[in-house]
Parts: sequence; structure tokens; C-alpha cells
Amino acid sequence: MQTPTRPPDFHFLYLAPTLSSLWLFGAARLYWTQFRPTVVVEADYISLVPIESVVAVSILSRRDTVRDLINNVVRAFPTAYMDLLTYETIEEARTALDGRARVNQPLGYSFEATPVTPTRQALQPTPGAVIAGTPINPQQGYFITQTPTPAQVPLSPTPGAIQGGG
Amino acid sequence: MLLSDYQWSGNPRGMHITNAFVFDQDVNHYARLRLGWLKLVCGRDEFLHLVSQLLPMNITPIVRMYLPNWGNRPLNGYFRQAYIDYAAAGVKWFEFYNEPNQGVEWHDGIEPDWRDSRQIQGLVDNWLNWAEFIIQLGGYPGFIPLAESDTPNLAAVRWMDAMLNDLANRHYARFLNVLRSGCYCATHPYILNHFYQERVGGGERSTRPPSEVKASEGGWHFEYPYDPISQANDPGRTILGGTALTPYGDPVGLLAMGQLFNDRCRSIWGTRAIPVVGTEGGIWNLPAPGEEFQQDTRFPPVTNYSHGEGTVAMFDWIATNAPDWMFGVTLWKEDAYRERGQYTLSRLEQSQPVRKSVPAIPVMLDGSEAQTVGELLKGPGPIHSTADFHVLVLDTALGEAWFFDTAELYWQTFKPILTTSVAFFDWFPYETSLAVTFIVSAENQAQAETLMRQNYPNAYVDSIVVYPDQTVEQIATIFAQRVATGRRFG
Repeated sequence: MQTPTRPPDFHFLYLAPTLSSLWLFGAARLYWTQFRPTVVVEADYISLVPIESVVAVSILSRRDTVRDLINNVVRAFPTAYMDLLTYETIEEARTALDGRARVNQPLGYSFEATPVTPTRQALQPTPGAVIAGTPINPQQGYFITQTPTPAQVPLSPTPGAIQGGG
Repeated sequence: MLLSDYQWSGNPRGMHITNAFVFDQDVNHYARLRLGWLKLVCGRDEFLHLVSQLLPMNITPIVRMYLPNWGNRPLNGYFRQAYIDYAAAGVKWFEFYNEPNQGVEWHDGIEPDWRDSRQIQGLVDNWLNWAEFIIQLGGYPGFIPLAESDTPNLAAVRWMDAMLNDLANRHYARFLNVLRSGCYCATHPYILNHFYQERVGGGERSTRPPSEVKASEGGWHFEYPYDPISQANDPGRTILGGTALTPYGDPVGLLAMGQLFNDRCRSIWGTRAIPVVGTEGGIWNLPAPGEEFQQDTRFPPVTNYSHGEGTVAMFDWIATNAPDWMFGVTLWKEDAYRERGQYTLSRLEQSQPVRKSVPAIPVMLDGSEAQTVGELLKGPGPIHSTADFHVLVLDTALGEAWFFDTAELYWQTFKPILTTSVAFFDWFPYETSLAVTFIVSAENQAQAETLMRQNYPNAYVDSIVVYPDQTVEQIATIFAQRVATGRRFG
């Protein structure tokens, strides 16, 4: 989906399941306190959201697992906006997330135009500088990959194994 | 339920479409082929319009959502809505998992193996939830189709047994109800060259050369491995194996996996006949003109010509000779036939399909009926052993310290979902279960528990109450005790 210009209806903080609790309790405490995202370590919960909703998923992980997590989000909610928080150390993550909290930018940038009243989960948009770098915008609303994702790629189911018994 | 209650075209001929996300389907092409089934693999809702055209033509759609590398994951909300949309459009026949005995259907690094109970239990639990959901939609859930492998860890007959045994051990009554409520078995009978036509006067083991077979004449054999040639070559061979040559079964026949499913369900649950549809398969491979395939040298090779004759004969044989429960096959797959199966397509166009006469017999031996409601129930649903989701809700009247300073080890151990909102619970489907741990102030406890009891009666509620005189350390002790005893809910 396009970069949201208003607070999403639902905001998730998706932690790589391989991260220790320090990433949440140490690095993301201020961020969570400020924005109250729903914290998950599996993406299935995200799929419960009605499909017409604007969903943002902040993915907190190291580089080695980020691709798996992106794929999991795509499976759960293909049109979700993905906000990649990819860091190698807890300290890096804390610096970035605390920065977002200080400037009140849950997705790392300021929402544009007139603030729209969120339908459910409250986020408070206020202007401010981008702290955590340029947000990634999945152009087609699907995968964030290193190469452009073609639109509507035909998908081929696999044929069955045909190993004879005789 | 009667076997004749299932709604379908009555015509065993079917085709599997090329891909998901194809938008230029020519519905008249399917009509010219005189198809009775069309298997659709859907990315989302791209075939809804096609469904509305197929049904008036008496072509029965079968819908599977394309779920790449899904392994044994549960159905998610996104695709759940797609099933609802297709059911609303009139589709009744559905599938969920596809060939879980193939590595490509799992996430990277997972080697499928029927001896891994975690793989099997995940499939069984999540398939059963999905099947009950499909029945609520008024549809027919397809039991999991398997690739026809006899490789030890992938062996189709072992996978089928592992799944059915697990259903019998842990979900006997629920699966019984599914069997009585519209279940069918999806199979993938890629039959190789396991068929033949007798020579006139040549006896039951005589075979015509490929150039002399004719669909319109008799003497066809599609009952592999129970055909005379197989039995003479390896006496006593069954789908399960039973001979030295078949230690892991022999599932490569038109009826094989469907026969196994029916045999097992009859002996365990008392079924009489559960429909079977081959949702991929046919005579495979499909030879181009000038090519021939002979994967099994006991049987004649298949040429482009004999493939066409054999395919027409196979469908006619299903209608006239196969058991009552065998409803048809959707040929794998449309683009291959367009590319090199023109003769077969022309034979389908020229020949009138033989309708299958399905007797009005109960699907259960004792005639017992389902205890199923034909409406979509509101979730969360009942918890079967373990809740699908565990959500920890922090009362917003409390500060974040009541979680962050109390529950770190608990969270690290049990990884509950953390939120301050219960809005999500409205969207839980019935086939998904919920357990909630509240960290709640004493003043809000009654309100929270009443809300849960009234709106989400199937959810398990676990409250950790913060009284005015309590300290963060005391709440931390409660969480620590749970971790120490390994009890998520105390």
C-alpha cells in the first residue's frame, strides 16, 4: 500500500521471535508507551483485521530474519504498510525508537494533510522531523524486496509428485 | 446426508486452470469441452465473475486459495474472507491445504515427514477448523490432497493414515460430524500409464498398442493396482502395498487414495461412501505429437493419440465403472493441454460425457445425520486443548510499569500478544479460539469480565487484578510463579 498519510486504523509492532525480551522491554518501552501498538511475534493475529482497514506493521528485527517476517506479513495482510525497524543491536533500536517517541512519529515520519480521526486505535500525529530514515513504501502493496515486485505475477501450483509404485 | 445430496454437475470431466491471477478465462471454451468441473486456484477474488458464469452452464467450480509455502499454518482472516466471498457467489466445493507431503509446500528448511507428529497435528487441527468453517458456509470441505509419493518420509498412504489416526485419537466426534456434513476427499490421481484397453478376444491381460485404442469401445482398465496385469505381476498388491515390492504403498492409481480414504473412514467412523474428486491429475505426462511415455513398462506406452482416447475413456469409466463415491477428476492443467494436448481436447469436444448416476444412499452406514448449523457463527470459538491466541490486555487505567516492570520473563516465556484494546475480539472467527490475560485494576475488573462473558463466552479469561494497595513487585511475583511452574494462566 502507499505510505499512509494519516494514522493507520491499526498499528502493530511485530518482533522477530528470535529476539530476546530486551528488545521489547529495553529498546521499545518508550515507543510502546507513547504509541501503544499491538505487539505480536507471529503475524497471524494481524489477519483478523477487516480487510478494508489501513494497517501498519512496524517490523523490529535483525537483518537475518527481516525477509521472513515481511513474507509473514504479506501472507497475513497483503496490503499492510510495512515499516522496517532493522537493527543489529538493542542500543541501535532503542535510539531509533526513543527518537520516534520524542517526536511523536510512530512510523518514522510525519503524517501529512489534515489529521483524520482514527477509527479505533489512537495514534497522535504531530509534525516533526524524520528520525529513523526514509520509510519504505511497497509500491504494489505486496512484498518489499530488493528488486521491484511485478504486479500480479501468475502463480503456478506445483504438480504432484509422480513416483510410481511399481 | 445422502450421497446424492451433494450438488454438482453429475459430469466427471474436469480441468484445472492454468494459474491464479488469470483474468481472460473463456468460459465458452469450458463449455465446448463439455466439462463438469473446473478447479480454480485463486489469489483472492479474481474468479468471482467466472463462477457466476460457470454455474448456469452446469460446470461445478472447486476453489482453493493459493497459499504459498503454507505448511500447516491456520487459515488467516484475509483468505477466510475470500472463502466467504466465493461461497456467497455459489461455490460449494473447497480445498485448503495442498500436498503437504511435498517440501515445496512448506517453509524453507522443513522436511515433510509423516512421522513428525507436530506436522501432522498442526495440519489436522487447522484443517478441521477450516472444514467446520466451510460447512458453516454451506460448502463442502475437501480432505487434504496428497502427492502420490512412495518415498518413505513422503509416502502418501502413510500421510493419510497419520492424519486420519490423529483425527481419530484427538478429534473423533468433530471429524465424524464433518464427514456427515458435506466432507469430500480431494485426491491427486496422476495415473502415469497405469491403464490399458484389452484386445478383442485377447483376455483380461491383453493390451492394445497405443495406436489401436478407442474410447468408444470396451475393455478399459483403470482400477490399478487391482487390474489383472498388476495382480499377475505382483500378486496381492494393494494401495497400502502388502508386497515386498511396495513397502510404502502404491498410491498411483485413479481410485487409490480415494479408496484408502473411504476404507479408513468406514472402519473408523462408520461411513458408507464419501465423495472423492481428483482435483489435479489425469493421464500424466501429456505427450506431445510424436512423443510417448512409458513410466511403467508393464503397461503400454502413452502417445498423444492414446492420451486423448484414454482420457475420454477414463471419464466414461468413472461414470460407469468406478465406485459410487468417485465423482471425477480435474485434469492438470489447462495450459499443458492447450500447448500439446490438442487431440485430447478435440476428443473431449467431440464426445458426449457420460453422466454419473449417484445413488440416494446415506453417507453413513447407520444413516446418522449431522449436527451442524448452516450459518456462520460468531467467534471466538471453543478452545480445543489450547487457545489459538493468547492476548495480554493491559488496563489503560494502569501505567505501563504494571506490564514492563512485572512481566518480562513471562513474556519471554509465553510470548502473549500485548495490547490495550479488546476491539479485535469482535473479529475472531468461530473456528479460532482465544484466551485473555487481563492486567486490570480492581475498579475495572468486573466490567472487563462481564464484557468477556457477555460478548465472547467461549474465550478463556484470566485476570491479574491490581488492588489499590498492591505494588509492582507483588504483581511481578505472580508472573514469576507462573514462569517457574510453566503455567501460562497460573
